[in-house]
Amino acid sequence: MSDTKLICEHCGSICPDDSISLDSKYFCCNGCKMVYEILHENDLEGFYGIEDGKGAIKPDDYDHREFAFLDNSEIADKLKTYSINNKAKITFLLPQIHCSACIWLLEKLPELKEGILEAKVDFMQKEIDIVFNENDISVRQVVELLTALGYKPKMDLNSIDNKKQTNPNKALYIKLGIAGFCFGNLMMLAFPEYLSGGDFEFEIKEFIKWINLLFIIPLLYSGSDYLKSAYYGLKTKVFNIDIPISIGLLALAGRSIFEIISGFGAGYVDSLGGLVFFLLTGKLFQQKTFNTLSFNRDYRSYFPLSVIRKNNDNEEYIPLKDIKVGDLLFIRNNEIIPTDSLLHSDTGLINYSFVTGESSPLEINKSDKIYSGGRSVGGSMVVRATKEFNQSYMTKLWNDDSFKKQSENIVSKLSSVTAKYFSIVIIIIAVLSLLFWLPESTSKAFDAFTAVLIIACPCALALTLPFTYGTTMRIFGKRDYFIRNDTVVELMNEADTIVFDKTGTLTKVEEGKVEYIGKNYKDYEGIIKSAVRSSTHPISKTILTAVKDSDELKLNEFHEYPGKGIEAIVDSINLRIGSPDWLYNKNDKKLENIPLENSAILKINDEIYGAFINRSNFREGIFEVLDILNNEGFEISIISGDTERDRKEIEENLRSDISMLFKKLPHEKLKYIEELKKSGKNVIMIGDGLNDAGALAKADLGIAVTEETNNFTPGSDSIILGSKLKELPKLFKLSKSALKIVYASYLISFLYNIIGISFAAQALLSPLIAAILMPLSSISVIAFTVFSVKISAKKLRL
Amino acid sequence: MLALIALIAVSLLVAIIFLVLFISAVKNDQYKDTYTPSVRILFDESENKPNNKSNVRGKK
Repeated sequence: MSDTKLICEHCGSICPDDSISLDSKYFCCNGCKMVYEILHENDLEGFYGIEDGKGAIKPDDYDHREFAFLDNSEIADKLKTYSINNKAKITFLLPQIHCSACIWLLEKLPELKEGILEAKVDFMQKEIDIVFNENDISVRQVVELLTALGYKPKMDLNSIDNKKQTNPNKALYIKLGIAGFCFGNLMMLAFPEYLSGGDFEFEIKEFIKWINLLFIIPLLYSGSDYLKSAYYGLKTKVFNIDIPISIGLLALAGRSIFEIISGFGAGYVDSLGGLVFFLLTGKLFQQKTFNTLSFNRDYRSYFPLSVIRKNNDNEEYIPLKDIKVGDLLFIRNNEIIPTDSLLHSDTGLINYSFVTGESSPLEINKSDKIYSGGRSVGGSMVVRATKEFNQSYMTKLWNDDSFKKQSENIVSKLSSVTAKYFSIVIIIIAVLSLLFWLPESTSKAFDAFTAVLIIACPCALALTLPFTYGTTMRIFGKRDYFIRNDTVVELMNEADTIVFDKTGTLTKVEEGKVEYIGKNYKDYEGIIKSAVRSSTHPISKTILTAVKDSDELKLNEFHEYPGKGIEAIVDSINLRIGSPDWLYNKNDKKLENIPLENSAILKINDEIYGAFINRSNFREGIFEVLDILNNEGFEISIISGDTERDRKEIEENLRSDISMLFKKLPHEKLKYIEELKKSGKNVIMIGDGLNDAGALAKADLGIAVTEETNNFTPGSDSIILGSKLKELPKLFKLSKSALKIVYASYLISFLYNIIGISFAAQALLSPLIAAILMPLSSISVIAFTVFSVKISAKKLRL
Repeated sequence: MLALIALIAVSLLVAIIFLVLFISAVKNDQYKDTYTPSVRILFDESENKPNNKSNVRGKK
């Protein structure tokens, strides 16, 4: 065996051997070879030139029957966006899209396959729109082609049920475009009025005045959202910031119309233009959404689209809704069990960590009960369904109303309170000015009255929150903490209690941690490594981390005994790793102090060497985070669905005293949050699994944890990557700074208002002053808030 | 003076035409994806051989 390793011509990873080749080029797997063939036949080797060939993806193995369910026209039709005259359009989510080479290759699909007419990639959304001719190619074939290239579409029940939402920003772009058009032109047209000092030709000024009048209509259209929202606010007696904004808009429009028609003045339409334009930019800034994330995924995104049903010797892929009671379902390794069932195989291993929070997989025997949502690990299994998909425990739990998120739109309390006081004060000042001038001159009185309403318009006020929170939200996003909308920043400030889930939140579930107690096995490391690499049991992966640096030894024999363990034989050495029941006689008393229920025993040549104990892999730095947050004044607690096994480890690692509750069911977690809220606390729940869904919905702020943004997360207000949990203290500090910046910005706008009102109340407000003050205040608020937030973030080293 | 008024009117008209074009572009999803076109434009289309299109017809 030569030392030089072969590199796969397609994906660049190391080939295990030289068995797969074509034209003296080697590949690591048949999948890569196939992609290379496809590219080669179509003259598309240019693919390897883009991004230096780093774009190539090694295709997943897949069973060609996996997409058989797409032949079902009912399902296929639901996936299509439209289908007219045999031309159909379909959109797929391809999470593997990661570079420009992907875009290049995918958009060349029409060249790769007859029948595909168009292919367009949206990189940020990681989606592809494909238009194809249904006479030439079927949905199933499109999916199979994508999978063969390495881009297996991510499809779940939600893809079938939900239609694409249209881009909500379209309307806003149009309004902003119109407002910008009006604002820019009006400012230009205002020059004769402001700079000529009255010498300019009368006709021109008249003409411009009437054009100004015309502009009021599109401007009121652009500002219509504010007017509508103010109207609804008044109707439902909920004060919002759009009410004083609308007062300002209407005062500007009204006064301008009056002045122009009566000939008394030039109107303030340019200020109206500036106002609407700046307000809309604020709205656009607020509208930042994180494209590939969904804060509203329900349980259906968790389950796959189809499952294998066994009919005597026949196996077929059926959609989940077709599962009938009594069906025999074949669940492959690492697949999710779609419905409540009984185990049909002799033994099985199920990982419920996402569903209940239990970190150890559960060993079950024939006829044991299985709950939907669990994942089959350590091998495949056959189960007999006892419930239909929609009647299973998990789906019923999920449909429970208490698990649904209360409200879609979080409204800023600060904004409502400010709006109320601001409006009251302004109206009082306006009325006082009116009354003051009334005895002297009616026209001056109305002048002052409307001027106060115009100049005091809270555009600076209304821009503070969108730009402060919006900038904060973007900084959060760069640190992998994604909030649903910008007001979540405010929610972070109001909280005084934080509840943590354990499994998957404080601990990493994907990577286990193993502790070995016993005799030194150094001489046998190579055998152990080879043995665990060939095993599918989850603890094998964990043991691998302990021996990963050693060289693998080729085994003479290898056996995996489901429910028992693995056996590896090299020459005269017989090495076994497995369950205590299989390998260990408890009377032996050799491994007395070891928690056997979470261990795998190591036995070499009939001698018990020791045990690999499966420990929870707590995230790096997480205990410091809990301590810091406790010191900052938050009341911290941990609530988990797992057993008490980790209590000691947590207590030892924490400096503070934190209450911990274990073995809690999803409903109990929800109740815990409810009780905290009843006692007056403002609660943040941080969790990751289906069993946290209720608690996340009930809490004042729910933060979902995930290892990867493409993964399913229960409905929440924000999502954070598990690796970034240790940044929590900094994130809270930034939101505190954001609040301080908001107050400072209010102060600035307050000063502008004082200057403005002093002119207005004296009936000295000319259109020129208004046209200068309003954009000036807007721009300074925007600049101040954005820069201040960025500087705060830099100081926090965020 | 009439000239100035006419000029203002005409330039506003031109500006309005552009506004209308903008609105129809937005409505046609032109701005739905603002990122990918920036990548697409950098692809070197000269890699396509002139007889490429006719080759494809014979495939699969």
